[in-house]
Amino acid sequence: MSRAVALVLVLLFMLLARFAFDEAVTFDDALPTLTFGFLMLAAYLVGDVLAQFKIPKITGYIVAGVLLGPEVSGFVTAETVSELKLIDELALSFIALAAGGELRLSELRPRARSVMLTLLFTAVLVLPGVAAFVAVARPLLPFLKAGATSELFAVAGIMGAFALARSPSSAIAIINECRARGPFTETVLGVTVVMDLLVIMLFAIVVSFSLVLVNPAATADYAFLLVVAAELVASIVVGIAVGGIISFYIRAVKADLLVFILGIAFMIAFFSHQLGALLETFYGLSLHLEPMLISVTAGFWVQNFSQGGSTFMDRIGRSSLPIYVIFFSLTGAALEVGALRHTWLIASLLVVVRFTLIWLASYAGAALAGDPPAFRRLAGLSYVTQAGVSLGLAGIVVRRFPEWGGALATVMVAVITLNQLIGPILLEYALTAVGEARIRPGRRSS
Amino acid sequence: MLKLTIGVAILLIIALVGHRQTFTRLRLPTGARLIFLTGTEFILIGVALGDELIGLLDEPTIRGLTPLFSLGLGAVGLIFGIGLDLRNILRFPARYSRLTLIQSVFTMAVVFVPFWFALSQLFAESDSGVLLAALVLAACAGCTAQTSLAMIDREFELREAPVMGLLRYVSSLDAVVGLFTLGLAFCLVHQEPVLGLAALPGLQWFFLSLSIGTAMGFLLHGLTRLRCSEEELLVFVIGTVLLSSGIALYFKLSPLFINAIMGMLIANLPGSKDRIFGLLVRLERPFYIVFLILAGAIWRPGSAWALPLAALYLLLRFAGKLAGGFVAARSSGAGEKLPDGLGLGLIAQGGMAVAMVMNYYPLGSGPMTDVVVTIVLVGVILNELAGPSLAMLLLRRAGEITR
Repeated sequence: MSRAVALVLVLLFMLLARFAFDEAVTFDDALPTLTFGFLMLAAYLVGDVLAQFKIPKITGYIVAGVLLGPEVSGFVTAETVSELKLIDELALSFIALAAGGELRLSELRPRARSVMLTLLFTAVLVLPGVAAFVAVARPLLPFLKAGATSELFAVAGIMGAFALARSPSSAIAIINECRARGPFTETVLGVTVVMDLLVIMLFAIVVSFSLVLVNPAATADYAFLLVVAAELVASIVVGIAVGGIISFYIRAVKADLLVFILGIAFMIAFFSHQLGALLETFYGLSLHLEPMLISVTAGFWVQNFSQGGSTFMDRIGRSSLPIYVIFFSLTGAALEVGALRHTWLIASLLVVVRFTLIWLASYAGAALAGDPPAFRRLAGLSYVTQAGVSLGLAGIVVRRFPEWGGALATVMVAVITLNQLIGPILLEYALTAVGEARIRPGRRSS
Repeated sequence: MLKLTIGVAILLIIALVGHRQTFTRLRLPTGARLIFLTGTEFILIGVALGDELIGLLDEPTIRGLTPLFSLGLGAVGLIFGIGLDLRNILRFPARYSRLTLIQSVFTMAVVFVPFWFALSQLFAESDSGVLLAALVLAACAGCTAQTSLAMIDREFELREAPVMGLLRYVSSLDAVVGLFTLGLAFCLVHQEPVLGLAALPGLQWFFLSLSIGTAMGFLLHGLTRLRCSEEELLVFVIGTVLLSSGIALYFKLSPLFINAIMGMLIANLPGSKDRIFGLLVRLERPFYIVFLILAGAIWRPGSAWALPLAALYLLLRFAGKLAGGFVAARSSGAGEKLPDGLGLGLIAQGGMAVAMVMNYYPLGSGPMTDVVVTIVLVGVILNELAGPSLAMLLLRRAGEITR
């Protein structure tokens, strides 16, 4: 059976299941399970079909999610996406554990200079560059009142900081898909993970000062900054503790490691969810950062400070594909592609400007670190994707700037959507071109 | 909250360390070892994590994890179904199958009739609701666990022993009768016809159940026939199990039954049966553990009637297995070669019964559902504890265990 035929059959089964009987016969509580299975098969098959055209499977899963999701075909409803949130968070924790596990100190140490310089140039070039562009592109932001210079500066600063955000989950998924390994890959992963950490602090600082800009009577919200800093520190500490527990388990038990990792991922998701709810209630802050940071730290700890790194990664690697499929297809289904309808022009321009600046910054960082010419040329292609944390930043803007935050968040979501679609393709191309991908695009792993 | 998280981590570690220690270093008594061997400890962990105690797996969380629960349920069905390779079954004498069928039907009838009456008197539920509950209890009662027999087999090296061989055969197949009863029970509750014909809507739904299982089987067969990697195989198996479980639950049918049909089809078609079976064997334990933990978490006693009814269930099942074994041994034509009390070897109940009652749980409602779950879980735990000793008693009588 060809994959295209299988895809048609899966769609047909779903159609029949959903619409063959009226509501009196059906049991709505089963919809998440039905959707989960449908998305896993359909998204994988879409990814596989698109892979024939050298498009990364991750992009295929996201595209499938978009096409089957609430904003296009409606096979997957918004309610079901929301009901699958816990599964989504579980998957994210699992992926982030893998991302942390891929960061090997022995391989990162020689790349430290390159990582640091890339981070430095990115912060120095991308933040002010994107902010300057937003200031210039003011006519494309109709929600800003005429003459409201302080608001324009606030929006520019926020967009500048937002442009720094990356997606470690997408990076690790592509790296795994290509079975990439080598100095370029380690640098990409290192920069992506560390930048995601830095961007939170930078964003908190920018938002804090933007509040003062917009409302001169207010004072800088230092409590907000402190909470963000405390959250980062707490997440890292919890991550180390979780890493210690996993290491102990591998040393002392080892049996049923997959179930144990799943249990740990669940606890991280649960813990983060509770912490997020607490912070949102008291500080209006919801970063969606905790599961990522805790898990990355835990994976990093197991890989670098215990004997069980290879066992851990082997067990994660063998069961990761279904998790990537469901995570990225749900990401696609949750993307508000409708946001593009009204903001496509400014969103596209922002994507282009951000990409250009990231490319320049990466080139400069790699060149100064003495990296080979191929690394310099290709590094910039590796940092385009944006996802979960970026969406969390958009949420903060909505809550902190009620007057125009919603409209700005729509632009941010549109930018994320475009970057999420383009980013994986560029990263896979870079990994292949630099020669670190062990599986070429479009080929099946075996 | 942090305390909770740490508590859960410690619980998991204790359970899993305990599990490992049990098999590698300590020599616990058979009953206590079975607690670990059958995964009963995971039900108890689930109880600890559930609403009644720690509250980590509360109702909204469990609802959020429904897909994982359904995946576990479907996987149990698929694993069971894929073991039903007709070529293997037909290698044994036909009287073995007759014996299996008769003892299973007899046991189910002995449990079903009194419980149909008792539940209708004790709970203000609809007739179809009571019928479903009684059929579920009967289906669970029909099952026999293979784990305890396997343990005895290993300990006393009874590979060639004929009574042990028969017990192995019966325990591997008697759940088929229960499974078909379960599949039919869910269909009988449906009043609306599938095909627009007014007659026998229950049978129409049963036909639909079989059709869904068959269609999903062909889909999985088609997906895995072409060369695919281990990771792809994992996606296809998990995806198909989830899809078929989702369709089954969405139509208020049995995911366990439909996945078992899917497995039976895969088992008897040429193709990637061995690869799928290999994958499922690797995944069986993780699926099963997650499933048992969730089963424990949703377990509520229900009402004061739960424990007396559980005692009645244990008694009836014991009587049913003994009488069923006796009748089956006489009427199957194998009686003269078998010792009295064949049913003693078929007391351990095992995971399939847990899966059956968990299949019932999401579609049931009210205190009767909780009571049915309690009856079966208590029954499984106690039968697992008593089962090996009774089986050894039978095998001693038959002269197959001499030490």
